Amino acid sequence: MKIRPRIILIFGFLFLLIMVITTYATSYFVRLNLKVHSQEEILALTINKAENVKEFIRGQENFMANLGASQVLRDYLGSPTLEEKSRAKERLTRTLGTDNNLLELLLMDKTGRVVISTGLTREGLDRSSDTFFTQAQEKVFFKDIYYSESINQVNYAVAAPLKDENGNLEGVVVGRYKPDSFYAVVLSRAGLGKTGENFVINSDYYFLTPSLFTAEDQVLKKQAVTVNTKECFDPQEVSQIKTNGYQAMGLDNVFSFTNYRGVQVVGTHAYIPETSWCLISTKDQTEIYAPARQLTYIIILISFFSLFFLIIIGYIVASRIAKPIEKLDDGTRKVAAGDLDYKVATSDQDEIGELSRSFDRMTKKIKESRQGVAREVKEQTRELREKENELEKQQSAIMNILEDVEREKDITSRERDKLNTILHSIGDGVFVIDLDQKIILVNKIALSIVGRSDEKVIGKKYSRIFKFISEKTNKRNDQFILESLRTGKMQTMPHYTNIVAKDGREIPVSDSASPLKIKGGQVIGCVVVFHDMTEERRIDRAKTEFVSLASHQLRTPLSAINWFSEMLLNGDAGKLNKEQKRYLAEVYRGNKRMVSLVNALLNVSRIEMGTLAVEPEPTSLTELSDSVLRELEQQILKKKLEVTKNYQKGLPLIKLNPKLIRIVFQNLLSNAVKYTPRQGKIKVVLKKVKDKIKIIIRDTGWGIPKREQNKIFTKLFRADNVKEKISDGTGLGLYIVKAIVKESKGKVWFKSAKNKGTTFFVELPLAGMKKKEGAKGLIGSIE
Amino acid sequence: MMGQRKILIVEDEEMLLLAIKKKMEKKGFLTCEARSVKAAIKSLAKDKFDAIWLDHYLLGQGNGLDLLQKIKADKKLKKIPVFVISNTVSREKIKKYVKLGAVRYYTKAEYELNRIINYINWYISKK
Repeated sequence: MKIRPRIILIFGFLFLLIMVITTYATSYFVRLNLKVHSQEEILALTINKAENVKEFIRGQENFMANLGASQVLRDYLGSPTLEEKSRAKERLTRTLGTDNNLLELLLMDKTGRVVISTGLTREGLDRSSDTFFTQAQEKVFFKDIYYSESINQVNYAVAAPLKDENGNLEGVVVGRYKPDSFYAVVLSRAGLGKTGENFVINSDYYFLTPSLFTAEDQVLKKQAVTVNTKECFDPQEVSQIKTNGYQAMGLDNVFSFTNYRGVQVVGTHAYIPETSWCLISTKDQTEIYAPARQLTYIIILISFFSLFFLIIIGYIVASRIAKPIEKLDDGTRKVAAGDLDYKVATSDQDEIGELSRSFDRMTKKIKESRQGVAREVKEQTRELREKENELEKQQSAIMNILEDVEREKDITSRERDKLNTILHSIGDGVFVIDLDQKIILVNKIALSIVGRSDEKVIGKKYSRIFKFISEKTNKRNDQFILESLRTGKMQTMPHYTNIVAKDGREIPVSDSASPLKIKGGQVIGCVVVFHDMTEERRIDRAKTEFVSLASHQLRTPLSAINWFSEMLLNGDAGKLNKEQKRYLAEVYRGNKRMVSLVNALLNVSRIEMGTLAVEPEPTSLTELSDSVLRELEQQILKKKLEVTKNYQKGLPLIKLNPKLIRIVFQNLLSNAVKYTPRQGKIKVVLKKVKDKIKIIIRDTGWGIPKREQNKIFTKLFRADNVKEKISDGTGLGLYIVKAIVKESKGKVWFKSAKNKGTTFFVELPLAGMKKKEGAKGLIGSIE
Repeated sequence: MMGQRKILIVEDEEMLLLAIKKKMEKKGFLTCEARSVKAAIKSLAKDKFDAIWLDHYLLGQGNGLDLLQKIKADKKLKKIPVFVISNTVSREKIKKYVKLGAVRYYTKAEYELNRIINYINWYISKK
């Protein structure tokens, strides 16, 4: 909610709250006050009036007492002569005239007989039963207000005794009065306000006087029976009054009650013991509390007016607060919209004024900083422009160069066209990349292999188009390209590399990456050539299967012959004679040769197919050598050959394919054993020389004639000198050895002289063999 | 174990079957022959064997690898030691056989029957 209504509402609410509280408080206290005040007033008034009544009664009594002392009257009563009677009557009549309220005066003798009457009462009447006779025997008697039939009116009587010198009663004189003067005393309105009511009742609760609200004709007809009147005649209170008079009366005798009219009044009473009357005095509560009510009305009225004014003032005050805030708000909007010159510019000294001035300061600062920034930008723009100019100059210089280059380019582009034509006619996929590995040249075949014949690939990174992966691991396999770029040397693709075509097919590829160099030898790019090997692989697989099958087919009958010969020789089919044994042994041996030949042929075919598998593992050459020697033990013992082993201590393990190297050992050692006559010597040396391992196998055998040394590693070659002596031999062993050693990145050579012995040297790099993927292992002769 | 040991010879070549069978019997084995995967499965279902002599190339559908796979997949059969004796020396194939759980691989032509059988005998008797 906005400030203005909020302030107004809050204040309005607070004000109302205060007013309500005030009203109630004041009302309460005022009423309390009024009550007490009224109580005091009424009490005082009542007591006063009661005294008045008493005095009135006394007055009346005195008057009659006086008359009772009249000599004339006494004379008459003493001697009732006519003369005395007329004198007495004259006296009485004269007295009658002094008071308007006197209705009649009566003189009664001591028997109670009316002897003289100034009024309607007949003389001679016997009124001895009347209280005004009976009660006035000793002293003056005030007779109650009552209705008298004889005079047909409400009256009161005062009787006084007439006594002789001796104090003996002679007669009673009675005065009968109209109650008017009595009424007047009671009905005086002094201090009664508007609703103050005074009246006198008798012990039967009958009105003895009229009152403000009771007409005279109600006298002695109407009753006032209330809490108040009852309390007045309460015996305890009556005795209190009789003993202590009105002193005993206090404020607690003045209370609020419902009067005979049913009206809520505050009033009290005063007992008049002389006549057993009660004076009642009440005031209407409404009149008593009227001031309070008036006050409340006034307060409410004032409140409303005040509220009205307060709202107006509140509005004004709120405006005074809100306006500068609105102005400030407006200002922020204007500034936010971009008008930095706008000032709220207030001169108020209050907090809002401070705020708006701060705001103006801030705006100013923003403006300044903006200007500052604008200046900087200008400065920078100027710098930039200068640089631009420089660049333009440079550009034109370059343009000149470029023109020259263009000319060159024309030449080269013609060359390039030539090149392109050549490229596209090459049967292999070719692409050229720059140092950023982005394709700068590509031929159709390369794109068609990967199924991207329609794509524009110039400028893209080659790895996005030509994805080389290893068939085995599915991981990227194009390090050969990066190697080529880095080393400036040609690198061959690793075996079993596939390229992933656009549609996800994997196509086996092979070939190489060659660096592109400019004059001076700096590598500026790389040419990658690859060709789809799918067909080759198929052929290869077919060849492999063929060889496998062939070997199986060839060996099965050989195995049969082998085993049956074995069984026969073992005597499993019965005992053989010497000759049978001999022939059988020949059969067995022949078979063994066949097996060996078949194995060797298969190995050779595998070597030629290039499908040798190389799985290097850390190998102990000493163990291999020992193992092979153990195999040949029988033969060694038979020929009584002396074998010396010279293994260097602490020879490290080399990563080799143990099976393949075993074959090397087998071939070389079995050759040494085979081609050394009885009691010959064989020496096996294993040692480490720099970063290579050397295997030296020396024998004291028949050696290799010089003439035939150059053919020793060729297929199926056996030197004549040994052919003579040993018919056994495939002529393939050394060919296989050479192939294996070459594959292991090693060297094999020999030194030999006829009949002097032969020494074979094998050198293998410590770094070991590189892993070569191949489907086949070589067939070992002995597992 | 009481009683004679029984071996299933799975080999396609008749003449070789004969040799193996005779040699096995000499060593005290009871033998049963099968020349194809189908026949081998049949025999395996009928009888309890202490060892299996398995060749790679077989008659009919499937080869030694297939049979070995089936054997190893069968709860009742997978515990029977399988010896692969074949003339193929393809590294891949050997690896596969070993991976599937063949006890040993022998190249027929290079081994004396005696040795092979001795080994089998020794292997199953150590249980």
